Amino acid sequence: MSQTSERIREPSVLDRVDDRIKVLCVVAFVAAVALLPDGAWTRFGALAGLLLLAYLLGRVPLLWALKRLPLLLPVFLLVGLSAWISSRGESGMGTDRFLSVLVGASMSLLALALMAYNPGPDNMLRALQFYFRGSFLVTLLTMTHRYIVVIVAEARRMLRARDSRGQPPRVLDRARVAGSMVGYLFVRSLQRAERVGHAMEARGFTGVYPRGRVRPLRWTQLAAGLTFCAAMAAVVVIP
Amino acid sequence: MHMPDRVLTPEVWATLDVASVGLVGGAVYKTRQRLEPRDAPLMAVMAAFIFAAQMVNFPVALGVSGHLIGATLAAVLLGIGPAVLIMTAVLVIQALVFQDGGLMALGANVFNLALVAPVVGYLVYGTVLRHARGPASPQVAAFLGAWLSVVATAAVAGIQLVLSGYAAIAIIPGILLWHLAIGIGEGLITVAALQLVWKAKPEMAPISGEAEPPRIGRTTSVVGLLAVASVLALALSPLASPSPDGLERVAHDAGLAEEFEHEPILPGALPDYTTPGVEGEAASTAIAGVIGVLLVLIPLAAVVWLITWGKGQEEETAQDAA
Amino acid sequence: MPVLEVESLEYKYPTGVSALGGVSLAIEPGERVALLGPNGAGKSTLILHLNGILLCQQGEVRVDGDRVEKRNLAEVRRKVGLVFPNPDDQLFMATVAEDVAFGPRNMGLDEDEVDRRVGRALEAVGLPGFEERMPYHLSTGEKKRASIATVLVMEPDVMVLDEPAAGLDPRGRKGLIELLKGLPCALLVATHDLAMAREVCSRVLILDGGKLAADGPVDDVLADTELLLEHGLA
Repeated sequence: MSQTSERIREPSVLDRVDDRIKVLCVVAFVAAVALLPDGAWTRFGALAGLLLLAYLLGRVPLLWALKRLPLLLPVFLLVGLSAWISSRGESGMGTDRFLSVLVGASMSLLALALMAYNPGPDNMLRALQFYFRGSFLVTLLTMTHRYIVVIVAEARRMLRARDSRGQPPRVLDRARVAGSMVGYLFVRSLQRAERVGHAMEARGFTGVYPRGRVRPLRWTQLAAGLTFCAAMAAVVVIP
Repeated sequence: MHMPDRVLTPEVWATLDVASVGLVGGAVYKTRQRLEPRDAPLMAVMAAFIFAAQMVNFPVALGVSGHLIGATLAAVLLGIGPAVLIMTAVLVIQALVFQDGGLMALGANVFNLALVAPVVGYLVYGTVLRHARGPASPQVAAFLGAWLSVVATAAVAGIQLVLSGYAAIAIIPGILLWHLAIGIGEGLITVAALQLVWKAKPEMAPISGEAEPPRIGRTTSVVGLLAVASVLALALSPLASPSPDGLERVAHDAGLAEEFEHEPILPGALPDYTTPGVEGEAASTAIAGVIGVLLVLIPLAAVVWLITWGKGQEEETAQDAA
Repeated sequence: MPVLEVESLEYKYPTGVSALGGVSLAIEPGERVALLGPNGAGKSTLILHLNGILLCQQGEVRVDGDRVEKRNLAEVRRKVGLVFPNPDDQLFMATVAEDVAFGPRNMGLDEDEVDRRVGRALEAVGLPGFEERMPYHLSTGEKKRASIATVLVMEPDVMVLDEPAAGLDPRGRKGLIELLKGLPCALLVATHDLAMAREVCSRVLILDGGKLAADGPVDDVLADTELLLEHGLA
């Protein structure tokens, strides 16, 4: 859970950009990557260069981000297989499509990793609160992110206790043990949910997240963000 | 299970983004009408619970390990509306914070795992439970729900891949077979988890406790199950589309065509998905589709009927005794 | 007039088991009272009634002479603050500042006033400059202090603390005692820590089996070894 740890990092150029604008830019970037035609390698290259520049400007550890890429392996396998078969057949996807998925999915993942590093999950969620004011779903996301840390820690303690006692020989029993742990985790989570609910009510919670001070978005920042979005749109539209 | 960006084509992911925003928006609206202040932290902690529960793995064999997805578990314990919101929250956090699943593909992932999965799980669970009141029926209902929810999710994802131009013959049987197996793990974990919860919190148990059993009407059951079966049949249909597909071409090139013709290696597929003795390609494909639906529905109905039959017996015995 | 009164409060769980069987007590402004009792005595259930998380089934709770009902919950929750035993349940926002500001914002105060109060509360609990820290990265002692700040910031007349010393090391516990002694409001401290009760409070209540077993000056009650043994406290 290294993404959520409190990182003490040197301020970089990226920190001069409003978090809300950074979130907007990453969304525009990911959308552009997803919309490029297959095999538009010049444009893929331009966007990749832009991403690399952001990593350098933000002094984001590239190695840390690259370690997230294996998440994509099963899908690459599937796409590769499909492409290989299609290349023998007459219809379906070819090499260009396959490579575009490979490159595009990786770039998109790296852009999201960048956002998880700077501005980071908490500021990202705050930006979402700004864009979707009063949204119940965003309130839910913010609280979920807070309690993932707590409940994952609880799950890890249970897993450690189980693994220290070894696994039953039969797969069926192993599944049953895992299921019981999940059930136990549910009961504990339910109790925690009740206590959290009490603590929130005790401080006057009425079901709506109280709105804090909303920092106005500076127009220079907004203009820069919109320009970036326009540039992304242009990359997609202009061949 | 989580789709990254760019795997699906823009038409497919954009459509699913729009659909998911609409459907989840509807779920938020419906759920909030009945919400009390303390339900917001409840759902957040439950979403965190599902996230953590997905980490609880168990070794299967050869370094492969199984784990829970949890959509049916959430739906059975908390109801369908909250389950949709909880699964959505889990997927958004997984995409934004852990890069598990793409951002443009979020609509697809939400559609498959936060809408199809809990709805199918809940539908099957509720339908079986309505017809069966035997001592083990909640467990059977939950197992079937969890198992079918995983299979249906895989089928829907497979259809999305085919719509995005992937070679169907290569991926659909693989995906479905794999998830038929994964679904068993999901069912086992879900049932074991429910058993512990129902024991620790008897008030949440569906039959002995006060927990409201899911209210799913007969029409909803029938229409819903037909829809699930059709999706499964549709997922299997490209297998045998009349035009020679990639794999067959490969086989042909390798001189294996003859063996292929005699020994269909693909499960559940009618030979080329056309019905022998029926003229006309369209009609024959349609009939094949209907047969496919029936092939999926009949075993399901048989299971439900078996349990119902047990219930009837019990009632008769009770009447005889009285 | 007492700031907090409980009169013949009874409570049964949905299962029918009785948790509280007629509890009456009163707390004067600025008074420091310890609430002792073995596990399962009903302390936490009693505490949940004090600002209307649970509403009375029998008897009543009065805050400033006003009966606690659904209509005055906001007012009651401003006057009576609860600090829960586990800080991870109490601190649910992304940063310490947001968490401390949660109560005042629910009270509808304007943002300048919220900022002033947050600063003051963090200062008072010894966490100045912790505004932007994340609650889950604080030490147990710091989490405890932050929990107290989240309630102190609402400027309550009574602060009720459930097991405030749970999980603290000796130094953390000592710091907590100093902090509690310096708080401006009346205190009701539910605890198993007799030494802390002696240091912080002037009066002691013993709750056992859902009934009040003793109510008196701290020196008298804590000197009565027989009484303490009888209720599993020594």
